[in-house]
Amino acid sequence: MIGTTTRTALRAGIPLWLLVFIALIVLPVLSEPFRSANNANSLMASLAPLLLVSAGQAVVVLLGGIDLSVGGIVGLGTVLVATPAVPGWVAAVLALAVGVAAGLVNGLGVLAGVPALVMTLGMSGVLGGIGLLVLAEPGGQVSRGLLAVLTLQAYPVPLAFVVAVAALAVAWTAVSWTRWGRVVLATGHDPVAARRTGLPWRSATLRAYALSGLFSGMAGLAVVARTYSGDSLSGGSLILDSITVVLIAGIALTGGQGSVLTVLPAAAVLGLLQNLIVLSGLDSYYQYIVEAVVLVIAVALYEASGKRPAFLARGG
Amino acid sequence: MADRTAVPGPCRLVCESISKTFGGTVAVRDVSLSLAAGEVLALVGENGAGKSTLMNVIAGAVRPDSGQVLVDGTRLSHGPQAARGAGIAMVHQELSLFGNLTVAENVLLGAEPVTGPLIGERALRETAAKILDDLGIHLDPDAGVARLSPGQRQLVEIAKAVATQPKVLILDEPTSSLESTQVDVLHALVVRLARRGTGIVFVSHRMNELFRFCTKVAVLRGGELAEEGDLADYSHDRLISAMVGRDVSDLYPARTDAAGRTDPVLALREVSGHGLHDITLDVVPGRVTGIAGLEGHGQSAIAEVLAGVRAPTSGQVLVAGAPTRLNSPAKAIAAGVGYVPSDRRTAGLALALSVAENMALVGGAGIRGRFWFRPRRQAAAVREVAARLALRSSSTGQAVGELSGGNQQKVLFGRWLLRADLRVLVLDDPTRGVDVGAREEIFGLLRELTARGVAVVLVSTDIQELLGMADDIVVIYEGRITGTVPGGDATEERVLALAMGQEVPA
Repeated sequence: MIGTTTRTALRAGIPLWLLVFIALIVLPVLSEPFRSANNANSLMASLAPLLLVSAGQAVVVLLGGIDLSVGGIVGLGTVLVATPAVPGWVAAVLALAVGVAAGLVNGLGVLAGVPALVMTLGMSGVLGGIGLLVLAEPGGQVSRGLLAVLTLQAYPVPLAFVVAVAALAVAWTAVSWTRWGRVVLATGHDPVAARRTGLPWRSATLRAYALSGLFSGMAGLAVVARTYSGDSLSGGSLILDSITVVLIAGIALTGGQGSVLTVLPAAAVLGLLQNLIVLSGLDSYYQYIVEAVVLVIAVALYEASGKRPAFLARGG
Repeated sequence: MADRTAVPGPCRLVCESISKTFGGTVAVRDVSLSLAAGEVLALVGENGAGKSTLMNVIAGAVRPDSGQVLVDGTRLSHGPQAARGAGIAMVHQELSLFGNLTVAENVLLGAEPVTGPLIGERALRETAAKILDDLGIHLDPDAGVARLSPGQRQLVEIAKAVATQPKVLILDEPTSSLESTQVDVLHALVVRLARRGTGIVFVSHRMNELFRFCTKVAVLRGGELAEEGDLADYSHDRLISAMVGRDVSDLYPARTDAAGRTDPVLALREVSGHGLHDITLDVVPGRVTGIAGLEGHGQSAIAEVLAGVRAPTSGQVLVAGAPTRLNSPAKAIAAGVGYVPSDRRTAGLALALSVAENMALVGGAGIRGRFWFRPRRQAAAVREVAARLALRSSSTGQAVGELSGGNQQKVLFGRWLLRADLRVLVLDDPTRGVDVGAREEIFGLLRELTARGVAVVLVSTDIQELLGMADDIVVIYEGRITGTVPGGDATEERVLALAMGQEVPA
């Protein structure tokens, strides 16, 4: 059974779902290249890292924080996997462990009073730098066995995409139906009250950042599944993209408001836009302009519809 | 009467020589208290007497410098979670509900019924509904807390505390936003909990309620325990004397008859909107116009229309007889209308800024300087007003958020005292959460203002206050004026009857 708060949060995402469904019906009819299985395959493969990073970002934002270290974790993950000195499987586990560890350190820093923006920005720099020290130029070599697993697919559906959607579903369930999730929402809404009420906000904070780190580590593997190589800077665009997705999904940057599940259609909108720009042969730089405009329009629509409180809402 | 027949059981709560100093200020010094099962203790004292600190120590939010707290004989370790685990629940005056969650989710927050890791939504709602039913609180468990009235939120907060089945329940000003029927609900609930053996600490500034709810009393003064005993041995006057440390003859200053000028400086003509219907009202210089009503009947909307916070959808606002569109607070201030909102923490003050900054915020060029900021001129003006208000702060540079409620309210007052061109002061529940001593001072200042020819509009849910202060009492029921009673010969019964919508022959 779906609780009232969860239902309210989901309702705000209905227009996005409709938009994606309509696009998925209309676009194949209009566009010959869009219809191809190859395009679907590449679309889903490119969505996998975005979904993973955005799902983690959504949880952190719901808690009232922000995670700018996602790009660094993704980048370092790809570098670790592409380092021949480390056996493939060990490297993959290491990439995930680095993600979790970075997330935990982020959480500890935030608990110690460092603003999330500063803490995670610092973490991003540290991880990115380490990645560049290990592998200065994009490239490296990914072990054949690991690559075979990462690129598994039930054509045209890549395994990475399925895992990403599953991870997002787990995050959504955890936020909506566990005690931890309630503490995340409460802390995001009013951290002072959460502390005063004696809620376990510390462990909730640590877990939220650790989750975001883990998902970013997984996103690193999903990136390798597309590029077959390591690049410390490959996660850079995911930082702002994930925040864009979270905002399009109607999750308030002020915390406590929104649904992780809506990240799915929001990421799909972004992925479809990028895909269309590529297919139409436009200069790919147009994608920045279009994304920015879509973001501003989406946030303006949310504010206008009152589906979530304005940034300067009175009381509550 | 609370349950005075209960046989005092073992000590639920013991405080042993608790002391706490903040910076250089002693908040609590060597206070020892005990509370038996089934007792309801009135913890009273003026602002800054140490009540909040003592309660926060008991609730684990503040670590004492020395002394300890025992629950059922077991020493409490530090931290809100430890206190909660030991069976202490506290209802804070500043509510700690989460507006993004529902009533049921708030009531059971942190104690949701789970199967494995997952919360059972149906069980959650049913459990919460049962708790609310048990307590006689009629609210939809699925309602979003953000949409509730302050009184309803207060009840949810209490239900949340009771849901943890506490051994010790601390209620800090629990009635400040409750209507009288809701106070009855709370009273029944306190009696029931006391019978079950809960020890209850009750903090309130409303005398009648202290005597109605409590069996014992502990008086704090200047951080020390001044007196304690059975409340039955106290009269209203003796209790107030004990709190203030001197005899208090009358809280309200005498009315001065300043009815010479009768042209209204501010008036409403058939104003509707924001829950109001056909409000016609004159605000006259030198008089205190009281606006009475039960909570949520539109009296705050009147204050907001007068102060330019909301523009009416129909009807006219007249400033000195001329129709004016008062559609922003800036316009109201320009017209000489000052406003003290009811929610000082979110609507009135910038908590992180200093006393001086908050006071001088609308002071105008004369105080802050026309172009360049004039710090010395501002400081001098602020110091003078702070002295007049008997403001208790370490300096005018102290952040407002660190002050007690009564002193925060004084800062809001001081803001308007700094304006020489003030013609009307609109106050919405200015004494909520303010202690007797500060109340007396605030009332004195209001009389000073009216003597100067300022018109005062006093919105209050405390009828006693209006009877004591107002020259005219306008009574609101469901957004309409049901009657106007001259303050001098008004009675509580008559005002209450009008406020409850009953027709009363004049």
